Amino acid sequence: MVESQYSANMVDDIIEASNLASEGAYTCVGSYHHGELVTLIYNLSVLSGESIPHILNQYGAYIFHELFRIDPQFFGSRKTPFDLLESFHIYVEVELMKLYPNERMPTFHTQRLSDNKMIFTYRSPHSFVAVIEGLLNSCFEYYKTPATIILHDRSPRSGSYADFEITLQ
Amino acid sequence: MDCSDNIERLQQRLYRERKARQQAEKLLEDKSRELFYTNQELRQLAESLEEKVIQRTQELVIARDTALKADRAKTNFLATMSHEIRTPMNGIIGMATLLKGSQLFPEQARQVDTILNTSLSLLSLINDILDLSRLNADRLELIHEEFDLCQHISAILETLDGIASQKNLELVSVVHSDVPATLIGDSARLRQILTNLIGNALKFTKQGYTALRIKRSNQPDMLRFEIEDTGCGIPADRISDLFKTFSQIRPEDQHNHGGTGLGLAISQKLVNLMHGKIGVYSELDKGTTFWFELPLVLKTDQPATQNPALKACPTTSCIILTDSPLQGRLLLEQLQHLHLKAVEIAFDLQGVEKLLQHQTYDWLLSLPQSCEDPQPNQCSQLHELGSRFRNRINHIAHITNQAIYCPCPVGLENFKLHALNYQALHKPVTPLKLWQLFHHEGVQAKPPCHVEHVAFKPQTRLNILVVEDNKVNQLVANGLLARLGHQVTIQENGQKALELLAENRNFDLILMDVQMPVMGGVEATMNIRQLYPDWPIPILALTANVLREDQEHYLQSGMNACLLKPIQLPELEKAIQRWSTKSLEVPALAAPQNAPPLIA
Repeated sequence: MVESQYSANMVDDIIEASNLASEGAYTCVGSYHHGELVTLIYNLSVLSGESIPHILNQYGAYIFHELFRIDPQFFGSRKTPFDLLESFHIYVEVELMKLYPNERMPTFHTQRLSDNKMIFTYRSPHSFVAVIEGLLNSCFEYYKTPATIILHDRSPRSGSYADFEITLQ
Repeated sequence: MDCSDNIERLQQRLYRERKARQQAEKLLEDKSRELFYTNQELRQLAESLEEKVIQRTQELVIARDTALKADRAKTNFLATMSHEIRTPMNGIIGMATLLKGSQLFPEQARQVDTILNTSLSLLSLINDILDLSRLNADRLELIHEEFDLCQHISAILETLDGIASQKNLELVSVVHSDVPATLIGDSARLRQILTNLIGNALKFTKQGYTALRIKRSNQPDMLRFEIEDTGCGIPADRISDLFKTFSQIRPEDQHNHGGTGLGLAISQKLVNLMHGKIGVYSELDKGTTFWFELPLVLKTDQPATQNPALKACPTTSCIILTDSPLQGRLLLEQLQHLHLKAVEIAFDLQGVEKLLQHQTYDWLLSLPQSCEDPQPNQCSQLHELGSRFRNRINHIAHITNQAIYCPCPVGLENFKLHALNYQALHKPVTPLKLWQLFHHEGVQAKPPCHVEHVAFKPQTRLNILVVEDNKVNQLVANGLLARLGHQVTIQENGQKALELLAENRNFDLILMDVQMPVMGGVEATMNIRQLYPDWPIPILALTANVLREDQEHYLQSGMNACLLKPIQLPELEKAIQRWSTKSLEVPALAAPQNAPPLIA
């Protein structure tokens, strides 16, 4: 994301600034300490001048589009934004767990209140509510379906627990 | 500066890429190793499961073989017991029958009768034990055939009436009008149950009656049979043991009343096999009612039709003349189900006369208790009254035990005098007989006949080949067939029979034992059918084997029917009459579904 949204040099700079145990050598099948991501995001904020919430929103939007690249068949078959949101937990529980069986994954729960209203619940050991916000906004943009999203953040001291009250317009 | 900065950046990127690649390779190695070990574990698990499956399968095979062996042992036991017991019984009963037909002093005749009766009792016990064994081993199969219930009931009661009339008991049957005419089921086993229960009722009743009532149950599609008696009743604490084998109400019953205590156990098992229920209620010194309910099975392609014997007679009216309130009540109950126009009871001739003064009646049913005094004689007075009121009473019928007409000294004269209007009804009174009386005007009275002295009329003299290895059975067969007037040739096994037939086939019937040395009956029959396909000689199996599948095997081999040992003269005569006069096709070796029925 950083390379495409900012530049390759920015990648070098935030890695250099973060003093990472992994030295920034990442592979998509590996597992790394969450703290490294937090440090990288912080340094990106410092070097780019963007706020951390903004970067996290960007990250969420990037993740959304990556889903269609990684598994176009699974996500491409969802016809509406609600269908897609309801498929997240399947993807996490089935696909991600195959690759990262020892990792603590976020959980997603959906509750359709009517044809145009849904509660989307996100829980995670990490504090990435803003990433989900960005992901949700991208989702409704993609399906060209305007929606109002009200966040009910019930996060405890560590980790995330948020209900997104979504109303399609 | 920019250039060296770029180079340094590129070097850093290259370093990171190389490191990432190495990490990825290591991860790949680790994952591959993990996969390899997991595969190994899975393979070992699969092998272990396979071993377990093989082991379990072997255990199941052993268990199955053990069960099959036990089942075969049961079957063999039943077949062997049946054969080993019936074969000598055939000798005893056959020889006693032959002896009975010879010239004997009265004392000898009495002794022979005792041997015969005792042998038949023993045979009955053996049959009960074998039936119970088959029921316990689940080897008893029910037949599904159509039968007329009213006719069947009439026949059953006829055989039991001897006991009833000896003890001066009334024996009646009442069939409700909603009971269908034709049922599908095992009529022989139904007979067995009813004979057991009615026989018990008569055994334990000193005075009064035994009544068989048949009606639809409160349960849908069930038929209810009730056998009510006015006997000594059963203590409440003995009722739960009643259906157990060898159960007797009191120890002295075994000696006083006879019986093995198997009848109720067999009846219960048969009812259960027919998916029915059985029970009893009783009151000491008042009487007992045994009941059982069976599923009502009708022909599916036809609606249930009412039995003609139970159709209403709305235009018929009758008077019952009896000095026994019990007899009157029982006959009234039977007549009520025929929905007559009118039924009245009179207890003497004056009562009859009073009724006749008010209206006409079609029938006067007289139940004479005793007519011992010639003068004044109620029978004569009755017919005199009938003559006087000939415009008010159309027919008179005597309902009587023994002779077909009134059992009084002048009864025969009365019959001759009033023959045209004089009908008779033999007890036991059944719906069928009442129907025959009202619609076909009953049976014309005829002089009594002494059944026990009827000689078997010789039929056309037949040439009969008997193939039997047992010497005693040869003598029995020879004697019985000679008594019936037939020419008998004996061969001691199937091989000898074939040799004889190769030279001479001048026979009308073959009686073929099954178990013989050298060549048995099945093999001999198959050979006969193959060698002489255009010679449809009837071949009847002589077998002590009660198992249905064995009897079917005999039929499939080409035999026409089975005669069950011990063979009794009436059954032998019937079988010969039936099969020697039939024009037959040679039975196919592979039996079709409608193979000729078995005869006992």
